[in-house]
Amino acid sequence: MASVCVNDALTDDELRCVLSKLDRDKDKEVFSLVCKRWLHLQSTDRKKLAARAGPHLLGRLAFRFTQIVELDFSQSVSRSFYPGVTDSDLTVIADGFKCLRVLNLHNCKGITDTGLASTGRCLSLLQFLDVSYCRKLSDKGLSAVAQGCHDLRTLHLAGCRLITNESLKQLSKCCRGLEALGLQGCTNITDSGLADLVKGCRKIKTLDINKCSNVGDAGVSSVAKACAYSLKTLKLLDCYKVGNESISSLAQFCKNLETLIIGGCRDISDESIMILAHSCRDSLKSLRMDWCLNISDSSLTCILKQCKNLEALDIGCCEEVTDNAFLDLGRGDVLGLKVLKVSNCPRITVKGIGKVLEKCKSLEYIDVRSLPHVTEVRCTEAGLEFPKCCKVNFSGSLTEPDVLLGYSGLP
Amino acid sequence: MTKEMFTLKSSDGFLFVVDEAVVHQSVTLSPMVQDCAGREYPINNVTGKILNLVVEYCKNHVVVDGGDSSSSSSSGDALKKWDDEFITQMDLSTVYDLIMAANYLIIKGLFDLACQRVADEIAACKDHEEIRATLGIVSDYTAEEEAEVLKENEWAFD
Repeated sequence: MASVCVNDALTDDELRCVLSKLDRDKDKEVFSLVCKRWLHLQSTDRKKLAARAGPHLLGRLAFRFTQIVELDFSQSVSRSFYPGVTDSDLTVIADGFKCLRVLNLHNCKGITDTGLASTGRCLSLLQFLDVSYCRKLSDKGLSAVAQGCHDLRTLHLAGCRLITNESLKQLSKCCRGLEALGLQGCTNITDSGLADLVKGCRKIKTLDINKCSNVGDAGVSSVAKACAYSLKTLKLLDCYKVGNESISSLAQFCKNLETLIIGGCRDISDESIMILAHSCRDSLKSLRMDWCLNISDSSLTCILKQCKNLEALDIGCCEEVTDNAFLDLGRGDVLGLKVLKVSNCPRITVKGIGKVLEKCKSLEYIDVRSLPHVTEVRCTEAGLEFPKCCKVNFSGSLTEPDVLLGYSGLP
Repeated sequence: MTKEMFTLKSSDGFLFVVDEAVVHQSVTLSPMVQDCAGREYPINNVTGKILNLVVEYCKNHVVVDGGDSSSSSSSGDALKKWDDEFITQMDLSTVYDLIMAANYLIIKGLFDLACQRVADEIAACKDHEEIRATLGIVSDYTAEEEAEVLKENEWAFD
């Protein structure tokens, strides 16, 4: 037995410093088993927690870890448990973890508006809430959250199909600091909902309305105007009602736009894209416009020549695009593209691809699937050399870097 | 130019004469440079044995005038080696005293070094019982309480 007890010699602050110097989580856990004073120090030091637990154990965790600001209960294929998080769990969480800033309930399919109401009642410091794919949630629960959590900055509601414009109205009234909103697949959202949203929420940086098929030009234009300085990311995948008017509004107002997803917006044509290319030539980093069937070489050349910071481009299924879009690039045109997807563009040949390789020295991934004139054999025959660190997808067997193109698939 | 010398007096009456560069490493003592040249400065909660070690550390960590702040890797390595030997050969009760002294005198490098020594000691133990034995702690847990904490640790992860 040692001669001097460390607990007599050192103060809490000094012991905390010793705790902070333990690298491994295992060591920090063992720290808590030594004695009650060390349990208290370790528990109140902990800021983030993920847990698999029912209400009783959650209550104990809430009692022990009083400084938690981040809780992660997200469910996925690799991490799930039966029966999953329930409304009664949420009540315990809301009562116990008062300082909570971040709550992740991604894919916790069991929770309903009742559980969310306790969140709204108690967690007034909440800034980040992810309830994507919690399919039972409706406006009732979301309104409770909006009314209780005024400091909300990020809200993920993808797959919450019951949500309507009413929730957007509540957010507009109560959560003016909202910066990121995910509404992928919320098909009840319409233009008037978006217009109401941006009456109060004028600081939105990221708006995901992928597959909100009832949204059109009026809604997008009101967002562009209201959040002109803040908007950096806008996702409109398969919003087929969105057309040139939306693009022109973005070009007119949103000079900081970095990521734009308009895949499947078939009505968009060259004129508006050319204006956008010019307006956002410094800011645009990622552009996905697959299935924009009216896009042709004229707008594509504008983008390639003007958007110097463009890193990712998807023009898959843009049938009108030919080699000329690339062959038109001159000596002064340098492209910083890292990701290029030209799948299903039947008029592209190895000539165009060759030019791409010449101009894009930083290429990390190129998708050339379903190109009748571009096969692995033909590329070799033409003497094309792909950069060493570049992955080339000829036949669809590679996993895509979807993260660069901003589309999150369904779980 | 002659260096200014300062006299530090430990709680048990030992005197240590040091120069300005040593004094400046302590945020607590730094202001005395203006007031106390030539007089004895009492440090009431640090004994001579510990103050001796503090002074030894600070003398080794004086930044050479005119040298650049990003010291070459060889002299950085040599200093690290010295620090390791310095702290490792001490017994734990001396390390605790050093932590308290470095905290009071606000000498960050020494404070971190000494805390790291205790942390290393903890990390080297195979379980909480060995930690208790090494650091002289008597557990205040009942068997049930300890089992509950163990269970909570299993269910809460990062």
